[in-house]
Amino acid sequence: MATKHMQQVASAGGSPRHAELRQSRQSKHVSGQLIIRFKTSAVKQVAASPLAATATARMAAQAMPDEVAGPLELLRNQAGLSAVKPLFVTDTPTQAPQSGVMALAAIHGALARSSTRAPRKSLTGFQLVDVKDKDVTSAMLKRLRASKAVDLVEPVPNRWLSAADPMVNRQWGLRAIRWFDGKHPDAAKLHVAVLDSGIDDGHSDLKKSIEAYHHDGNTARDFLGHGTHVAGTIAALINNSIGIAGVANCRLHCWKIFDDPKAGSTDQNFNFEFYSRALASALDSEIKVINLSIGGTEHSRAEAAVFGELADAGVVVAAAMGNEFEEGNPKEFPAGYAGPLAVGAIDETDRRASFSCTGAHIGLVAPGVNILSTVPRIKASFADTTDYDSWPGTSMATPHVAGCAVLVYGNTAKSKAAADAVVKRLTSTARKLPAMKKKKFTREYGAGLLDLAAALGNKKASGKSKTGKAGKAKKKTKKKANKK
Amino acid sequence: MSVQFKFSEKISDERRLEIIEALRRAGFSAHSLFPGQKRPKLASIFTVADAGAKNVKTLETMLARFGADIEYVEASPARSPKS
Repeated sequence: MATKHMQQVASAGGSPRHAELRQSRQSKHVSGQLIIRFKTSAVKQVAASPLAATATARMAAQAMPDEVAGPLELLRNQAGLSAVKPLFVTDTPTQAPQSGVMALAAIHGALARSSTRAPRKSLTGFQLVDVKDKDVTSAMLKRLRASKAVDLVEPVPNRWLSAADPMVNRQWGLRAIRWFDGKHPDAAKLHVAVLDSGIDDGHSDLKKSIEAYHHDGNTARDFLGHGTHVAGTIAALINNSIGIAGVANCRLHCWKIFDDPKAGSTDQNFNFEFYSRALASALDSEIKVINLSIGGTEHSRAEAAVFGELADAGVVVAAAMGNEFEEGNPKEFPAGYAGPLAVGAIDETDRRASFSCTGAHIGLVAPGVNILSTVPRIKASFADTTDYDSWPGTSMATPHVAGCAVLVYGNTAKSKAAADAVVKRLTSTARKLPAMKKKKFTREYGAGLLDLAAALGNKKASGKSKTGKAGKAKKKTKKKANKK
Repeated sequence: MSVQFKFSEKISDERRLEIIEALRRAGFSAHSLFPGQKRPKLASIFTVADAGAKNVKTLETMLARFGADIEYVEASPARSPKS
């Protein structure tokens, strides 16, 4: 599996997703220019008849072989030929062409120089021709190509600076969930809530994705950096030539549910009241998905009640399974309530991350080790560096699912049926991993690995699960688990 | 830490106010956990902010006096980031 990921690293930049993003920006050709290659024999013949500086137009015309003069005449009369410049010639002409009548002499000079000054024989005869773009027709190109002295006629291919996010190839998680495979729906008007430690709302890879930031009673600063990391995985700006790419170009509603640290304290200061308000705010708003990369072992009836209402209101909630597998593997909440889609973590070898909690309530798994994302520009307590950092955790797996959930939800009207369908789609198309030993559901991996391409119905889907069954299986086991 | 309690959805607004007033007299300020909510299940959940662990017991004992009018009393759960 590691080998597969390596192959994907190499091919990521040439993926359909990259191509789609590139093509949306520029036209394929430079307007008003053509590349024409005259045959070596033709330009040699031109070079063999040098023109004196004082040559007249008639002398220039006489020095031009007929098979060369023909296509030039065609370009002049039908395409508004305005300049001919030799390609691949590095030295400058000894004398500048004079105006008016000398235009033909200038063309003569350009052709001659492409014969005598090209650095290689294979590069002789190439000309860059300036024309009026609207006059270049396919019929005219056909006639030019048919000319005896012409080897090649083609439009000038366009090139542009890459806008791709420079760190995107380090985001193995995106490859693992097949984010690069196929087109994604536009999520610019879709809303996701992130209830966490806050966000660095001035981060250049995030600030344009933030619809709202609620930090009532606290400073805006994300002291832990956790919320900034989670937010980056969901919605870091795509193709902005900066840092990483988020899963979806959606709108973020960030809630800082951990109070600012008190002097001398390392407590995380979870604010249950503000958290409750944040959850309730999604009920009657445009928010379709909530990311909860948090957890704890205490069950709360008040908290469970709001998750019940969120499910009825059509909000998909992605919640972290927890990282305490090696500390007794407790059932954690809110992932353990009926309603949230519980997310476990896998590593780069498609194995469960050693810390990732297991249980009957798990929905599916997503990449959660060595996940590169945004961190605050000012050093945060969870971060080793500023701006970008790689972290492990089911917290890091969960936003992959939240981002995919909103893409799958799309513009469908918010309803319980629609949200249930999104969860079912994500679980039923999850990729069965070798460690699942052909089972449809396991306590370690749930329905399998999140597969965005399969969930969106893109071709070459690798999901081997039969639609619907994994989702149903998950729902059944979760109901069972919650009865306990 | 805060303490949450839920009124029975069957009781009247007057009865709610009566219980909230009783709490106030005992030094506890209770307010809705989901202000402005119309959904009965959420609108009936109230919170007493900044109640220490000691106060949880006190509130439990006190609210127990109102019998079935109070469905449950619980301390706010701890939650932490999972990275």
